[in-house]
Amino acid sequence: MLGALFNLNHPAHYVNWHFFHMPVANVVVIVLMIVVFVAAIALPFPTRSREP
Amino acid sequence: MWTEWVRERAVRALPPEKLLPDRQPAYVSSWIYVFGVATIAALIVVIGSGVILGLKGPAWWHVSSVGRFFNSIHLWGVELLFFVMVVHLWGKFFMGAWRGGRGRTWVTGAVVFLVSIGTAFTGYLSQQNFDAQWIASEGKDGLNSVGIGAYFRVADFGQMYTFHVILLPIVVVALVAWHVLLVRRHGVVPPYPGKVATATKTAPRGEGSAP
Repeated sequence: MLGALFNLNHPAHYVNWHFFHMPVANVVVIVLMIVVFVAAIALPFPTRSREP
Repeated sequence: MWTEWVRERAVRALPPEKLLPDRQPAYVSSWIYVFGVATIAALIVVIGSGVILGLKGPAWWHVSSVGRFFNSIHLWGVELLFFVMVVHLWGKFFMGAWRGGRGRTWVTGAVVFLVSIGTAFTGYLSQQNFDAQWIASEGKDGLNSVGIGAYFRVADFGQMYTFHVILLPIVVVALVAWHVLLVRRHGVVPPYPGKVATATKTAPRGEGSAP
């Protein structure tokens, strides 16, 4: 059986900054959502070329 | 006949060319418009894997390798569902998707988002493991603090499982169907008009400007 890509057998790591307190995994997901959101607006959508 | 009345109203509200259109406006050619259908695709995966998990039961999804595989499909399907649903929500918020008589489309989308959170929460409570017990104790504190702890017994597997596999999925699917039919009826919201294009149209550069 393949092992897990990440070792999860430990308490979660947290990002702490003033009032901000969040697990690293959640921060990663939120950053990924922002990246995908910006990419969805910025990247051109492939369009079918029309035959002459 | 009441059937005639229903048919005429349904066809008037949603004629076939609106219900199943074969072309969309040019502005829909953008990746940001993909995330609505991506949410529905993820929902289909979640419901399909959930039906298999429900038929086989907790002993199967905890012990057998195939059961754990489907358990993971269900979990990561939900992760993907919320990921694309949030991007869809952001996109629709910033393009003001409630404009042009689309208020009900926006509200049904917002409500189904909230109901989905409840469905996911009852799913965590239905795992039948220590995670579920811990989440139940935390959830019970939260529900008690807002005064509704007497109505939701989050440590009761039977009640939470019924919410998770029957009641809330029916609400989610019904709201999604209503949401999609409203999108079909009112069309996809157009983007805001560009400021540069509007300014050029009203006051062309170098023409009619003050001396």
